Amino acid sequence: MIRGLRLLLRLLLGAVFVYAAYTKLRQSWLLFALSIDSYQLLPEWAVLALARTLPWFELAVGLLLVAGAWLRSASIAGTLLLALFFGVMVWSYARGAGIDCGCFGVGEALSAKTLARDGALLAAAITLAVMSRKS
Amino acid sequence: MIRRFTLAIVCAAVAVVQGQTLPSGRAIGPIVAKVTVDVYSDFQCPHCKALAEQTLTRVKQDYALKDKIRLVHHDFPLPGHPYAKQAALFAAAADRVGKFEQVSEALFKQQDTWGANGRVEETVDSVLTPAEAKKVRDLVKDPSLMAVVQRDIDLGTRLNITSTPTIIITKNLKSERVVGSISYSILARYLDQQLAQ
Repeated sequence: MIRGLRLLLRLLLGAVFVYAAYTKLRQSWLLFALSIDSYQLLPEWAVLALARTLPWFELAVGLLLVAGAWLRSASIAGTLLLALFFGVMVWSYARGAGIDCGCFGVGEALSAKTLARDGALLAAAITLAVMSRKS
Repeated sequence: MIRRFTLAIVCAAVAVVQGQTLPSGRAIGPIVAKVTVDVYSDFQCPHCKALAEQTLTRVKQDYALKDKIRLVHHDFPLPGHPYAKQAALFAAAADRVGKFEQVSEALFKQQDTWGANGRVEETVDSVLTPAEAKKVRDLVKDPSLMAVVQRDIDLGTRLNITSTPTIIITKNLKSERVVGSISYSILARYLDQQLAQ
């Protein structure tokens, strides 16, 4: 039962991370930089650095989760990433910033729906990280 | 993919129509420009003010006025902003007397004032001569002007725009959208990249 749930969670989260990376990598990295910039949280150099590296980091975490390799590290990295996204999204939503979520490339507005989805993924990632710790 | 293509087709069609009907204030740059930047904006929205003052002014100077891109303003007054539609009407009326730029700048600059007291007309009058102000007041009552604003709103609705500012960047019938206020430097990098390709 636990093994089955763990398999399900890592495949689900892995697929989400790989898809998120794919949607960003298939377009100009500067377009993703614009999406990050719209949050108005980071200086330009950090926006550019994040836009260049984040999709590759997401891809690495996703592939590790799907493969089941370094599961504990990958699940913790995924949890931290999703917690960061969730925190930033909640903060931006609360201050009424009508911006892009930036979750899967550009074009998806930040909304209660995207918050609920990210919250659910974060809960799944925390569960996976806890389960991986026990294994 | 199909959605993006449809979006690009709609944007291109609108560009053609606007190229024939809109005075230069709302659309700057050649209609055949390689890249078109459509901005859906609300004069009462603080993020639109930031985008207009910090980013679009420079985009206009460095790209649109140099014929590198076409920059198009679209009105998209949000229902939660009680004076936004009125401001859009005044800006559209000012466009008919060749003062769109001055009036839109004034509306954004004094957004806090008229946004609080609703006296849009006073802000508009502050950058017009008495004769222009009178003409603009008359024009605001013209139903054809309301149609101009409503056309933008309808188009934005068809494009599923839900918040402002929304920027749609179109090149080779492929459109990408960015929502929110963005910095000039990163947008300029993106435009340079698109123009170089």
